[in-house]
Amino acid sequence: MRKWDRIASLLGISLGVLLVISSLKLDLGQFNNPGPGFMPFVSGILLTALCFAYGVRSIWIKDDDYEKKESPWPRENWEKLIGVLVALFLFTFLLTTLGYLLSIFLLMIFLFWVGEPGKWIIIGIKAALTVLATYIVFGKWLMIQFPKGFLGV
Amino acid sequence: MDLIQYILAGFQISLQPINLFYCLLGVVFGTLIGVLPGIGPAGAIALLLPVSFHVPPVSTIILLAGIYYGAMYGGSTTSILVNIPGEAAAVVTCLDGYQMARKGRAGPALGISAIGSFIGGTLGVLGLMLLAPPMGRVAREFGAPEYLGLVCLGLTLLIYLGRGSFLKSLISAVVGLSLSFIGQDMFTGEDRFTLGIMELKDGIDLIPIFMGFFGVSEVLMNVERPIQREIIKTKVQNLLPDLKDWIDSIGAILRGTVIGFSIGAIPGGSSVIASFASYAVEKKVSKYPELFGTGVIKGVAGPETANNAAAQGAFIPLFALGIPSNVVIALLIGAFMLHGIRPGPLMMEQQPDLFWGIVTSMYVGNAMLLVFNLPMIGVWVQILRVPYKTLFPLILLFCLIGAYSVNYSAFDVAIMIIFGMIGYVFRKMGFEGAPLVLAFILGSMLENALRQSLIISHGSFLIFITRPICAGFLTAALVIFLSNLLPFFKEKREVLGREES
Repeated sequence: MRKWDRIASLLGISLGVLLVISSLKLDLGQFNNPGPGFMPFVSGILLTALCFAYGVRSIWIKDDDYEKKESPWPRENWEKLIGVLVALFLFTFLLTTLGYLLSIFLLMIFLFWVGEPGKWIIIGIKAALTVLATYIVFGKWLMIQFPKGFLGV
Repeated sequence: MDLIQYILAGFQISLQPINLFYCLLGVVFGTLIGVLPGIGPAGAIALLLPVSFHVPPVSTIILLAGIYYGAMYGGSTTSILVNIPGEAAAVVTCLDGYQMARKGRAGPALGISAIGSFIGGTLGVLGLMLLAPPMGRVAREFGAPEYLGLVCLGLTLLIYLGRGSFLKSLISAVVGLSLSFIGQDMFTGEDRFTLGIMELKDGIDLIPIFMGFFGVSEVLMNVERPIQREIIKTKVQNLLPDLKDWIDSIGAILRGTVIGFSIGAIPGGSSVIASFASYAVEKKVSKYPELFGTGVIKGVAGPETANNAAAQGAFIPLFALGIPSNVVIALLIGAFMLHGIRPGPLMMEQQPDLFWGIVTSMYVGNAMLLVFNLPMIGVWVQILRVPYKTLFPLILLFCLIGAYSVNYSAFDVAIMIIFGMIGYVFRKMGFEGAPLVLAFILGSMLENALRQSLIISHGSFLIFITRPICAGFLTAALVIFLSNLLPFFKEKREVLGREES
């Protein structure tokens, strides 16, 4: 955990510095008449300082006092996690092209399979029913305009 | 109009069939959310927020508020029967509730939890009704400097009342504050951190952030480590507590109401803190504190009452000051905004029907929860058997639909997934999401108040000292901030954080 705390601290410091640099490109204004860059500038400095303190704390704190010793990242099921994230991003990317019905159907098949790998036909039926139910409730009843995609539905 | 007339007018609205329907829907859905581990009231409200476009404003808030306090009722069921809290405010109920169930007393534990919740909730609404209007009258006199002081105090309290590391809460809040600056500057119209992306010109929408942080990240956590649920094999019977249980619990219920309501009404206070505080007080005042954790009914009655009273108290800052006291209330502000209504003191004056309609619906909702929940406990137990592997695709699906329907944009869906990932990393690293989200909401309010105040005062910072209310808020914020650095408070935070985890 100590290692990850240091990495998080470095990441936070970088973000803070980036915020400071970006806000300098905006008009900072004056102390008594702040411009659009003033508050982001102050936030950037605060973030940098706090993350620095966080990093220092992770170096100084004794092993016995460390709240968590082991790594926070998963040793098992991490492939499921990555799979779900990739599937979600793919869905977002393809939503407009494939349309709601097809893209969400494919996503549901994958998610149900991740939940419990089994017979494809059962998974397909579960996914189809889910998509149909949400389409009726959200698309027809609540009139949410879903993208139609190349299928035009 | 006097108070009684307002209340009667409120009931006329809340008892309309359409509002009764939404109230029932809200409390049942809320209880369901409370029962199911893996999604809390914030996630559930975020899911339903875009859907509420098509529902009248009063009904929307009645529905969403019902989910909030309904979840407080439902959360105890899993704590008692499965030893897994359905939502964070029911964590402490596990300690004695589950032990009662193991001793064959699941019925009285569930019964006293529902009755305590009803008493806490109903007295909480009474407090809300009596306190919000006079507080609103005071708040109507607030200008930009007072709002700056209030936001500073709210943010400080939020960080102060957070769990675990103070430094991490602070970092979380600053990240949220920084995110609030994305979009066009309110005063000059200049683009800030938009990276040339058209969709970012109006800033990041609240809903995708909420859904990502509280919906998607929760699912990711559970995909990685599936929830193991083992429902205790005992007959749930004798739901109504006997005379001895009543005698043992009544003091805890009344104390829980006062503690919960007071903590809920503080910006930054939450049902989680209220339930822990109530448990700590009960243990302190008990003649046999060593028995706590072995199945003492007071250990269930107090916290369960407190978390419901806190849920009602949390509406005070919303109605009286127009600021969120916790994440769920922030979402309700989002719901008001979707309907073009700005909650706060002016709303109470200009749209009293809305305020009183919502408040009186809470009486109705609490009564519905008491009447329906006890007989439906068997149903909730059955729902607990729905495996998470079936549930998580559905939760993700609702998140995707919800985020998409805000602006009919796939960009919002991408934002939600990104914030889901950030939320997951935050949870893993022990950072709290609430300070980030609330600072994100309050950030623009803070910046506007600061710049407006300096325009009013022609650049003089003395305005923050010479206006007594603002000076009071800022002094209180400073004292609270500094007190966090004292070893006693630091230790308390860490103990609370450890107990919760």
